[in-house]
Amino acid sequence: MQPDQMKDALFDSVRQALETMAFILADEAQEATEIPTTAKRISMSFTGPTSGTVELIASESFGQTLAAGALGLDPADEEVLSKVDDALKELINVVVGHMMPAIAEDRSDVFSLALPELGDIPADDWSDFIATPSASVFVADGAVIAARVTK
Amino acid sequence: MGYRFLLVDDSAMTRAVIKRVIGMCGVEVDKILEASNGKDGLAMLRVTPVSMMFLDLNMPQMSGMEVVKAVRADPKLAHVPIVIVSSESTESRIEQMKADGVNGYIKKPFTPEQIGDIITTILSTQSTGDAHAA
Repeated sequence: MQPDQMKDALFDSVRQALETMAFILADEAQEATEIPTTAKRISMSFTGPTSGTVELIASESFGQTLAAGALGLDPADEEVLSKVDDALKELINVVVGHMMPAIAEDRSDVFSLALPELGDIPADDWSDFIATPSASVFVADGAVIAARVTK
Repeated sequence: MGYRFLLVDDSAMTRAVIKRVIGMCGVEVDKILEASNGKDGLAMLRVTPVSMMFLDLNMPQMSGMEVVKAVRADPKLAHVPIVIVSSESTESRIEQMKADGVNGYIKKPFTPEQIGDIITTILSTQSTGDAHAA
């Protein structure tokens, strides 16, 4: 699979996952966007006919918006606040799940998925992340998120 | 006496959403048990009989498919209806689930209607004395 095809598959998967999971519409960022000072990095590896790692970076407040949308609760609700990390992990799980059929070259292809990993990312690392050719930057519900897939 | 459900998913958020939908779908609920990995879920199932279980695939300690195989191989548990709730949606994976004896599959993210419909379908099958009846 060509890198551009992989990037397109990830782009579509992120948009679809956000919309179906939490009714969040995401568009490609058209110009320089304000980078959040504190952000989470979520990653998930897959192996199979094609192998790689999908990574997402998003602010904690976006995670709150995501959890609120998925749970159908107010973003300030205590249950939402306790499930921000969980929502971000579930987002990448859904993104990778959506992406696999798109990158499968044959219907019999089997992929093995690792568990999602989550950590903090320093603001300085954003520019390196989005400079990767496979990276896409989105504006979703007023927040900036970035995604990339690396082999 | 209502129905008992077992939710096995490492995502607390997903368990919370399914739990809420079960509460809204009009069936009498006795208890909703939760486990965050396949190993704990299987242990709970061995102790507490349930009417049906919702099971994720990609989990720590014991995957969903390992749980399915263990349940189907155990004569005391083999009748328990299993619904897989997962983001994995390749054709090969879905065919494997069917071959291993799952009763239903719902792709994440799901709608409340999908969960409600599968509960109604499976529980009505149980009440008519199907081979999967608890």
